[in-house]
Amino acid sequence: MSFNKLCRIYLVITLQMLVAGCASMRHSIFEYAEESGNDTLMRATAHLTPRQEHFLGRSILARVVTDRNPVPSERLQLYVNKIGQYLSLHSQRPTTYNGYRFVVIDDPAQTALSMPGGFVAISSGMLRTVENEDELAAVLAHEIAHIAARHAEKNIKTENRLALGQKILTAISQMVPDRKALEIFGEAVVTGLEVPFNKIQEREADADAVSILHSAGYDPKALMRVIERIPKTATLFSKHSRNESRLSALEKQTSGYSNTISKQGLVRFRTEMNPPQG
Amino acid sequence: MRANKPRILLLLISLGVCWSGESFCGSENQDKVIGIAKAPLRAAANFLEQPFAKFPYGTEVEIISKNGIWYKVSIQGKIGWIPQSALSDRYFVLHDIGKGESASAETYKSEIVTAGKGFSPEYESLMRIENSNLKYSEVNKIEGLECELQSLSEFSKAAGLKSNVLQ
Repeated sequence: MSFNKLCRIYLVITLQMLVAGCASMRHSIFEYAEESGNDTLMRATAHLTPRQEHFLGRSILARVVTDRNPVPSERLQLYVNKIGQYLSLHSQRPTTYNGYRFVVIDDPAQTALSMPGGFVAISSGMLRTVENEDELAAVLAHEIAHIAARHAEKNIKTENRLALGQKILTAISQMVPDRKALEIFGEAVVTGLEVPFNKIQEREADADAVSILHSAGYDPKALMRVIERIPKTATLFSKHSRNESRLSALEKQTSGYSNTISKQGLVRFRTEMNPPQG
Repeated sequence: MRANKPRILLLLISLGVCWSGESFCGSENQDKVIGIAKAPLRAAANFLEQPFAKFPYGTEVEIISKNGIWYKVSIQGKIGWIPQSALSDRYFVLHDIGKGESASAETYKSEIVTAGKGFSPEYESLMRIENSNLKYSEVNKIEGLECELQSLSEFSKAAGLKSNVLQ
């Protein structure tokens, strides 16, 4: 067998091993973690399950509604839930552990907050800012998109991985003879350190919100109008992402759409915001 | 160039073999379980189709085929459709199930294989004891605001919305 031929065989085998290795990586990290019996490793590599997401979300929501009371109008809460739950069916993740739920909190600031598991809080200040049902839907769709993409979970996992990174250094210094664990740790730390979450997540949520709005029949341009209207200092969406760059991205994405505000939706919105007395 | 042909062909074949191997081992074919509290099984891949059965979190699912966001599945001998987001990878969910929550699922006593905090009803109980001011009663009220899919369909029609999903 010639040297050239040997080289070719070697190249093919190497390529196959490389691809097969990549394919099995996702499983091996988690499976290895369990087999190792290493508690720290298991905690750091595991996903949040849908149920864990749900109970984490409940506890965050408990803090939110303790700080800011839910608006007492059951009618308003139901109206916002109908819009939100309808929108969620058009997201990439139409179901969560116990479904999506929305709450209007008494807060003059223009804010909205998504929590793991499918909880969304929107402030009364934000309700006063939006001018029609399409714009209210746009705010909710943005928050749903964060939940559907599991952004909160990703952030939590990153924190775990970073904490793990520190432990690796300790392990190395103590000469822990576990090479595979170190490789896994290394990958986790690199992932955790290099991904600039906030900006990407906000852009992703904007883009997904436009898709949700379009699929649900609401005006896809409504999100742009809300972002234009809110002050840059408002806590809605992100403190870190510049409105200008988000707006230009949204403008590109929605350039093919025409304004399609629902007239019946507008009438309904005005009625729900100012319900008849008695 | 002519001499390189067999080499390129060999390379393409090997990549093809690897690609198909990757696809086979990918998450689509992993063991799945129910990943939501109560998953409705429907006779058609449509949210407005009335469910004919419901299955609890952690129930084993056998996947038959896929159509967009919907999976055709077999659960305890019943065949129907379920949205992809109602399913989870078996490996992760089974670590999160308490005893007696699902007759079909293998259970694990400890919560150690979680993302660090063990978010669970037990954890919430501890939170409640340590933070008695937290308004979990409001959270329960909010959770009670579930809207029926049929009412959501009527709600959208009343505003003249054209849904791509609720049809």
